[in-house]
Amino acid sequence: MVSCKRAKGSRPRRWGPRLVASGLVLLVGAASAAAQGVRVTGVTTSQYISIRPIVPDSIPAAEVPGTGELRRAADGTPVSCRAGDTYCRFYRSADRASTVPIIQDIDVNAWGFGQGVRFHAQLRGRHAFGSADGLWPRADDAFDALAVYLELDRDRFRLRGGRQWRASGLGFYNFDGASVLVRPIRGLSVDLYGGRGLTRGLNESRTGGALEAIEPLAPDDAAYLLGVEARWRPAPGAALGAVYQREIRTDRAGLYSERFALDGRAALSRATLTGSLQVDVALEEVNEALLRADAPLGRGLGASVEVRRYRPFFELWTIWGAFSPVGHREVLAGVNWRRGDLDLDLRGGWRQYDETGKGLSFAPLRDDGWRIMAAGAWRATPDWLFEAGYRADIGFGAARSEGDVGARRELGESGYVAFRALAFQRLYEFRVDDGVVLGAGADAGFRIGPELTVAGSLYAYRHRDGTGANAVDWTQLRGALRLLWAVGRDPGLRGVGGVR
Amino acid sequence: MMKRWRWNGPAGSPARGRRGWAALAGCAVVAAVALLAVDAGIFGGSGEPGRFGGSGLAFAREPVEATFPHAKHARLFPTCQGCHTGIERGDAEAHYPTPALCANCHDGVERHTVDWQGPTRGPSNLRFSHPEHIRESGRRGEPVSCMGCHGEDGAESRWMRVAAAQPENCLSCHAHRAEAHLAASNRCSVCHLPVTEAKALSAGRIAQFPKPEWHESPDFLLEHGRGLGTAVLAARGESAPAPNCAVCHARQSCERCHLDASARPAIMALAPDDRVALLVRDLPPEYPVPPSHERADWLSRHGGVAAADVQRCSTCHAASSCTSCHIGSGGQQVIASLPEARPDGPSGVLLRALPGRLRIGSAAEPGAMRGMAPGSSRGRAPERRDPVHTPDSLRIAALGPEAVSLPERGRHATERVVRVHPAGFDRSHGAAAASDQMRCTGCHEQRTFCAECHTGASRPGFHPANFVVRHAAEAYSRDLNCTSCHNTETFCRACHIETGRGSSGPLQAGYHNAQPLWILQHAQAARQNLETCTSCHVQRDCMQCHSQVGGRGISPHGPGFDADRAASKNAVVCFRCHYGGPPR
Repeated sequence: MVSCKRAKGSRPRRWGPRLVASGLVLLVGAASAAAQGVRVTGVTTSQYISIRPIVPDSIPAAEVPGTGELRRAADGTPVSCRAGDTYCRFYRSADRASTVPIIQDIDVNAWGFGQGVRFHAQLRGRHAFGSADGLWPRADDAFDALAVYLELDRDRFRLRGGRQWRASGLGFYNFDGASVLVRPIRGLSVDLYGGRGLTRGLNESRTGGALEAIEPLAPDDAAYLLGVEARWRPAPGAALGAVYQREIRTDRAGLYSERFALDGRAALSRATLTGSLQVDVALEEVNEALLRADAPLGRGLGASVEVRRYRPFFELWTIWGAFSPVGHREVLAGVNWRRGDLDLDLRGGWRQYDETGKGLSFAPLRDDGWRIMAAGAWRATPDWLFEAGYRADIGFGAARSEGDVGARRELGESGYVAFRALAFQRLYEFRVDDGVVLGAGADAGFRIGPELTVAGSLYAYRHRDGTGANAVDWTQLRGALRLLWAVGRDPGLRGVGGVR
Repeated sequence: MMKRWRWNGPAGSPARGRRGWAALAGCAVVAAVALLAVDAGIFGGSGEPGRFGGSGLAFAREPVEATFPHAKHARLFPTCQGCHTGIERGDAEAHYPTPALCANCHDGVERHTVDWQGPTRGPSNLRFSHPEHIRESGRRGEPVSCMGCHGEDGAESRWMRVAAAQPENCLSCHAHRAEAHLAASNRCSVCHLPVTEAKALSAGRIAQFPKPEWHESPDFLLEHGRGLGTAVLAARGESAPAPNCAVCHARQSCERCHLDASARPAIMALAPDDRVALLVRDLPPEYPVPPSHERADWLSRHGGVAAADVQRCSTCHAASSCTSCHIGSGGQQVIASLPEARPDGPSGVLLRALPGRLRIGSAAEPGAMRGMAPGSSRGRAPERRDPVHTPDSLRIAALGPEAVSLPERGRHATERVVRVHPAGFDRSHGAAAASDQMRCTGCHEQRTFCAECHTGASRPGFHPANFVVRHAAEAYSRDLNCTSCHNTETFCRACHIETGRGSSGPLQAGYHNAQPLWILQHAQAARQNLETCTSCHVQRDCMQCHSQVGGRGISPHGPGFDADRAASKNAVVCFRCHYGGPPR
């Protein structure tokens, strides 16, 4: 089995990241020492994952009855027998592999350098134990800096320098650079940002080696990220946001992306309208267009309707955009009823894919899909909450049907215990994979102190294979443990409590 | 000494017979007189209870006839002043006749003795002067008679048919034309002292003050600050009366509910009073929900309303009420101008945000899910320390313990649960967050909040349990954009390769074993959901067939593909499949 840790021939990444990590730690430490106040919050997460991977295997073709490419072996296992091949091939479950990844997130905030000056760092460390430490993605990446920047925030403007991330209508982007946000008038902000772009979802440069380990045709050049974003609130309850962004190869030989997004929201007397638009400017394609309306109907009822058009976006360093992917249209509707201690939610949708111009007219693949979801929660007493839900998603590629029930007991203010049972079934359009997975387990959380909380869960799953011919065995044990802690001074925010 | 009638004359004598008829006739006369006297009420009857009025005092509600049978004495006293000598000159000691005066007749000889001590003079808050009323009425040429106020039927009453003076008697003269004694348009302060000045009254007596009917109006709690009576009169085109609250209320009456009492001139104008404080000490505050708060768009509008006039909020909301949600940068100036809850006073209405999605197991924090039911509109003393706020289940596990601490609370806490986001917002918040991030930062700390989910990999709780087994359908349908949190290559593909599902090395047969003609059908599948293909396959897998460089040269381009445009944006990619770059 190929390990995703490092591809052969790639650059060793042993010292570079460590040096960077050490430098960042020193930077963080120095900033903290110089600060008037520091607050560090941390989340330590560990999980136990146990999975049986699948591995290719073969059986002599002579031992498989029947003709044609797809057959079933004597034990019912679906096998693929190509013409002229002496062996028929199939996939089977391998030995169980387990891993315990540990992820440490640290958030550091330091202030007191001057009015509106703040240092912020968001760091992540990882390590995995177990026989298959590669089972958890990126577990080999010991250190990540999600954000490290210095900020000057005043009424009319805000300056940031360092590694920072942005959440906008285009999604989530990281970069090493600077941003200037100006608030010329109340309700309007314009943000100019730019720097060395990082890979989305990776927090590393495209040429840092992480992509190369997985994708042989990884980008050969880093990228500059440049963008401008404006947000405007013309009236109470109304908001508009627009962003234009480019990712340019550092050698200026081409673009990695050129995108535009427009988002808006308007609260009418009773309804709320939300809309978004994402455009791939480079290829002149609309990636997403969405319009959604939410409205209360009275007596605890609320309804929502959404129409959406989606087409995937691919960065220009890949060949995928050249394959002319099509999109799909979707309509979703939902009703929610909330009264007293009862909360019911019902939603459904239907989607239709565009014409691809490909495929077999006499053996077409499915080009539509639908889904429904029903969920309910009932607070029987101040200490007991009961929940149940069902979801079915039937459509192109894969389908699932799943249900779960649960109960939660509050143990005063300092703890809780919850129990859940679930069952789900998955079906694939392109692969024989059946069976029902049954699971049950428990969650618990306790506040040990004002700055320390621990929570965990343990679930067991059993895969019941109806046909006896599946390659995959999803019987497994899953566990998680989280520790939330904080040290340092209160930064003086008015929000001593509440949501973050 | 009582005279005795003697029977004179022997039995059977003529004198004795004449005396007997005379005696019988005398008894008949006496009986007749007695009957007439009873009818005249001299000997008492079903007298109505009444009050004795007096300067500055009003007695407890004692029946007048129970203390003195006025009707019985109707023929004996032609004027009231005969007994109530001090009324006209305001001599409180001479308001009522003395026992000696009654004994002039009730000496045990002419009449039976009586035990007359006078009525009990209880404390009162009445502001009344007989001499003043007599002078004023005389000055106006409208002399007032005693029976006008103290008669059973007013001025039309029969002589000595006395009843207690009623407040309606006052209204008949005083020109505010109130509909009733306790009407909203009445001027209580004309006749009544402020409760703080009626120092003789006990707390129990104050507690018996009648509650005006208009105080029970559904709008009273919301409108009393602007004077509900004022609104009533204004609707009739009349001017507002003088403030009446002080007659029954002291400062503590308002401080029971008003967090901003010290900043309200109308409240500070009321004097404090220990008796009132005692009465309201254990009364929970009442906070009605204004109609504006029930609008669907109130959540988005309340900031502007608060910024325009924070006093509209400060009655019911302390700063801690806002900071249960607003711990970001939004609204801090307005919030800072709100009062703080007093340890010995009400905490106002505390808002608690309900999790956007109620799912067991996804919230790894104690105290979550509490308060799903709407909070009571009436304050209540907490039976135990109330649960912590319930932040959205998306974030709490990574926020740090400080995010769930409760602000300081007063003796009485009224909690109200607020559902900030609609159901399903965790999966549909993209456009709202992208356009209205200023609103998001009012409650959410942007520096960490978004990254808790969108940096992926370490944030359990967003996806349902065991999502690794269940995610295929969602990945195909793209209900959410997986790439907003996960990198396709290093996250999706890496895991697929590790678990044997991803392609590594030469393509092998046997995986897509449900479609016999997969080699011919995969094009449709790839066009419909190429993202799913890329989660398992590297680019070279497809180039084996779809590349002119080392492949079979099968064109993957669809009819809408603009090769020139693509090449102008990044020609490097074209070289991967085409010799010499993009074909012309």
